[in-house]
Amino acid sequence: MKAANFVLAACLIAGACMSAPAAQAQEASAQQTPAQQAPARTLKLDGRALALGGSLAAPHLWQQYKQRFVSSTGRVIDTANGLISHSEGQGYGMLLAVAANDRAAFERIWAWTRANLMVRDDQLIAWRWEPGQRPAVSDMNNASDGDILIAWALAEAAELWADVAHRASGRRIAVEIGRKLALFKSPHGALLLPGVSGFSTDDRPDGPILNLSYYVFPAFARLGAVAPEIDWAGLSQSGLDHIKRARFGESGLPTDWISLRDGAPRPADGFAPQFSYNAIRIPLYLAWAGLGDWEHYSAFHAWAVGKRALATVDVKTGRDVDRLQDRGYASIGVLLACAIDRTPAGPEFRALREVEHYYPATLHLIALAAANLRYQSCVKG
Amino acid sequence: MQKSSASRLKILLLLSASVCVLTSAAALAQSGEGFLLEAPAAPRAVSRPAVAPAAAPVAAPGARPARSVNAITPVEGDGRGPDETALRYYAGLNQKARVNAEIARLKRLHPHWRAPEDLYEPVAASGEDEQALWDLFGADRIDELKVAIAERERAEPGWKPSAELLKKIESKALRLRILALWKQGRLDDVLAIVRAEGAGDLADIELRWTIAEVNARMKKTSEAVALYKDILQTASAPKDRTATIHKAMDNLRITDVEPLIAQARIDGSGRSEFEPIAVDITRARISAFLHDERAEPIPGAEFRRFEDYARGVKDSNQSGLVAWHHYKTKAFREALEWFKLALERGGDAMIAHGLAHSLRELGMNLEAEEVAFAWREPLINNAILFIDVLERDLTKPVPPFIEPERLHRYGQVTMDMASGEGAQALGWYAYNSCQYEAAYEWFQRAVAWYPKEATVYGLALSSRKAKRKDFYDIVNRYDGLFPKVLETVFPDGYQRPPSPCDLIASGAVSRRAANAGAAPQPQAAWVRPVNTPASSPAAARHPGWNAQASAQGLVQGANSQQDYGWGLQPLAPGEDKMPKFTRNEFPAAVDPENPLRYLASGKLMGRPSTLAAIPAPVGAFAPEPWRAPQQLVARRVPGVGAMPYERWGFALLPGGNGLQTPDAPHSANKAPAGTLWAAEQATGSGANQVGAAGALADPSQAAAQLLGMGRVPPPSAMRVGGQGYFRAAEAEIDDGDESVLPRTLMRPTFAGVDVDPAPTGSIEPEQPLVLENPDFEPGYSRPFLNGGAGEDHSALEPSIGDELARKAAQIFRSHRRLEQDHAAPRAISGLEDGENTSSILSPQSPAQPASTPSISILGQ
Repeated sequence: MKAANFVLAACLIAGACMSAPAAQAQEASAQQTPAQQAPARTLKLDGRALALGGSLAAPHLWQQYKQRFVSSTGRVIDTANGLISHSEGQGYGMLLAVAANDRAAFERIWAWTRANLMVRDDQLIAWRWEPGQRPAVSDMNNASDGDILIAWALAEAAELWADVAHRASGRRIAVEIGRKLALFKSPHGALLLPGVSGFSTDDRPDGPILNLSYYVFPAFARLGAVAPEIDWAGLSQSGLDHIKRARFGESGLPTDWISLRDGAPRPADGFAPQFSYNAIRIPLYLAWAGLGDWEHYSAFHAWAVGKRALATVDVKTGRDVDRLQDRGYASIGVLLACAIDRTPAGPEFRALREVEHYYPATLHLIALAAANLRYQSCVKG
Repeated sequence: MQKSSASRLKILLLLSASVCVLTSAAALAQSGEGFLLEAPAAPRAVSRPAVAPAAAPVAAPGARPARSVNAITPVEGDGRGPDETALRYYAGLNQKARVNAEIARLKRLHPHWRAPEDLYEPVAASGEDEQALWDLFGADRIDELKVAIAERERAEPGWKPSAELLKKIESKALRLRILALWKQGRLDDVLAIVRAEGAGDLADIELRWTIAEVNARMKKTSEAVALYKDILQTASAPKDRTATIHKAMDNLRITDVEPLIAQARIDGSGRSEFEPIAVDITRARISAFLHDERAEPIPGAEFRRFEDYARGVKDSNQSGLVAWHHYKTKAFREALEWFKLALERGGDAMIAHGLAHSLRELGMNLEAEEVAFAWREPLINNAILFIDVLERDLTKPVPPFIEPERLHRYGQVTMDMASGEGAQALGWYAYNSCQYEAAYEWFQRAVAWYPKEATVYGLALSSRKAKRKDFYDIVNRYDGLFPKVLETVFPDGYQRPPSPCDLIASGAVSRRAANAGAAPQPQAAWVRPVNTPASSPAAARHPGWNAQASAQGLVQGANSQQDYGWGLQPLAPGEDKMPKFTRNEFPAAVDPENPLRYLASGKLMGRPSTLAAIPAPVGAFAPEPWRAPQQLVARRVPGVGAMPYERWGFALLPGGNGLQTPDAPHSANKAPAGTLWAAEQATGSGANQVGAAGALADPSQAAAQLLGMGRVPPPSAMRVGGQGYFRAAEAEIDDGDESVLPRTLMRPTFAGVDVDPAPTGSIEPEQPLVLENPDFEPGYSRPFLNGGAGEDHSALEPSIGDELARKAAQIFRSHRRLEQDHAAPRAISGLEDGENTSSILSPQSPAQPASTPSISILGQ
């Protein structure tokens, strides 16, 4: 399922998307019809910067997760995607290990990550690793979200276990993110490039390109611990601003990939104009950080809460594209209902289904950790 | 806070019934909700408005207290003059004594104010007998007041409240609504109300400040500036005017505040009315300069005045600001002096960081290293700087003299931090000193922690020199990814002079020396060890190896290289052959996963960690699901250039994204437009600084943040070591039987600054090299992961640092005699003679071990 995501990213990174026929260019959803909005609500979220350590509080789930997705050498396996690994997965694994207070697992995952993915000549992380390929690293480009997740996990680990080695590593990565991937003086507000190569104004006719799901809001609240000189709050603020502006079509949902070339956001060229596997994480991160007001959540709330099954959405036509059957995806809706409506989560929120793949299972555990961290009343019992 | 305000208020009310005090009460009522409940208990000795409807200071949610506005101070009125409500009220009641008292009070607060002449003229509206209503008004009990008015209108048909009261009620209700929204953080709603209804007649200066701040916070900068400007145009009291500037500086960038400062009134002597807050203004300008919000440094005279101020106060932050300003203007000598002053005044680890950077900029790397080391624990930036400063020397082709103690602690910090940067530096140092076993061990750690191309290249070379079995594993594993690693087996068609180490090994050096009739003069001081993860004297395990002679030979060998010519020599056509491999060599199947894993020492900067060791893993991990055979043909990777075997016509498989031809190496990527990296590339800045990639954001920005100077703009990070990693690799290219890059391409550059690795003159044997061979403890060099699920590796780690220290200390002792030539005590060159260096260089933190070496004791 997530394969589509990676194919898109690979296409984009390689610049191949740029030669896509003009017919594929999606100009349609540039008509940013405001979504049918539910009446404005006042949200009372807790946006404090909270330590992640121990927040998963579900040892059995973490155990299941490790047993299914983390190899004994520390490789986090994307089971639905050719058994590859990527910086995002390693970052999630490290974060979940901190949230589960499982230092042994953390060390394994981080050690694998640096030994296999830190092959660039800077402090960023090559994003994709494929077993059975020669070489296993299949792209030297980075993915900003993976870098941010890993730097954040290191910062959390440094604090939880008082580990100077992790503090130093987290700082080196975080500073490099601020230096190579952030555009702090952009006329559009602080921007986070999705990768070093392939997304900037010079790289693409519709650049700079934005992926709002790479704005890991809960990380921004905590990375100041290792790199205080970087304006993480500015990134958070601009991310929130962009979420308010990037509302396409009737659904009012953002697409995974967004062009800011013209100032106003529009779906990026060469990509399906879809609210898809990337962007579904936006509300997850918002709620994890306790950030945002109703305007930020309303479209996601309408998309996720109270739905039997979620689906990716073509923002141009408003039609569902892929059904998101796995319960892990539904956990996003559970978390939103919990954060916004104070709706208690059902017992299934505390169980991991055997059939689920890496991505929905990961989102599920993140939603659970987020709920435990900020919305405990919903997950009691 | 509320409680204390309320009780304070009670006391005030008991002590005095003066209007002045009661005005304070109104002020406090705004900030302390408890007050309204308690206030009625106060004696109400006078029958008049309990509280004059004056403005109340507004506490912004989470806002810092205004620097010059005391929340308890009676508020003097708005910017258009004092509030005359109470005065007119008393006049309306013809209470002349109170009128006179109020006039006196207002004059005291507003010296330029004149009492209105129409005080005793009849008021248009009724207004009589509204005492009770004014009481409610004064207590901000607007809802009750409205009820009271309605009741009275019902009870006394025809009665109407005075127009003044009605108007005031309306204004005050608006004011209270605005302030309530402000307190709730509903800034959008504040702006909406102000837009729709204005700020009312009660727009006293506090409310106007608040509205300006809301605009500033909502990024309506020009509106905020206009509002502050408007206040300045109407406010007359000096205190209000300076407070306006202060508030503007709190809420806006100083660049936006400058037009307001320019509105200063100048007196006859040319003195600005903002002179009393000149220091604050300069401080804000310095902060903006450090944050890159202001391009130009502070002008000389203004800056000197701030220097005088900073010199006169004890606050180390002020001298720190001066120091960072000097640093950013590249006045490093001045920066050094000010950092020292700030440290003497109790400056923190960030000040020490600035001191270390200044020393580094002044070429005092040794001293910079000392400071960074001493302050490594309180601030991770210093630990990183420590690694990065010495890394530069360690990776030089012929490394300079580095005292054993320095190497020892460098290794220690490298292990504590699990620093790939430090490990590769020590690897190159060992390799370039012909100590391949030590190099191999350090490179194994470097490749576990930071396997970039130059590091893996170092591991491959050391593996082969040390005759390890994993050489071809490394070459195969990184086939398709790291061309330089493949260059260890595929010649590039050129020959180069043999390396000094090879000349030594071949005996060429001693032959040449003998031919020249000059026997090598062993210089004892050359002989020094490289501490490896664990080491013992070389001769112990390599009988016949003469460390001193080798060291001497290394330098002479380097000199001898000249005879081979530095230029690139194409191989003769017959010699440039495709190498032949056995089936097990290349290409061979290999597990694509890098198996190297090492944990950090587990020490907290050299001290035993108080925290529990890493526990054994709980539960099982996933079995590796990949089962297919490994590939023998590499495929293309985006961001990777051509493989060296391609010149013989061998091709790679298309990349996963369809890439058919070699890509531009990612290391040659153009920086994305708009990033700090792009700015560095454009100006050539950054890369000539010391430090590994990502390690150093512009320290002055971090400093500004840590000095409490507010919001942090992006760092203009300095890039140092990124390209530096290739220095070492290039340096060791002199490996005689290796064919690698043309020497013309080997010159390492640091943002345009050439560092010449290949001197054309003779190399003076001033910096000898002697390294130790490793003697690894079983288990020490073992990867911490052996792959078994549930394996307990907690015991593998334990005493690496201790072992390191112990072994290194033995070696150091054995070589102590040899080091005496280099044992002259050194002091920080920037310090005066006789100055106590350790007091400046060591953190004051009690946590710092007493044994922290300072430079003055080195070599003793």
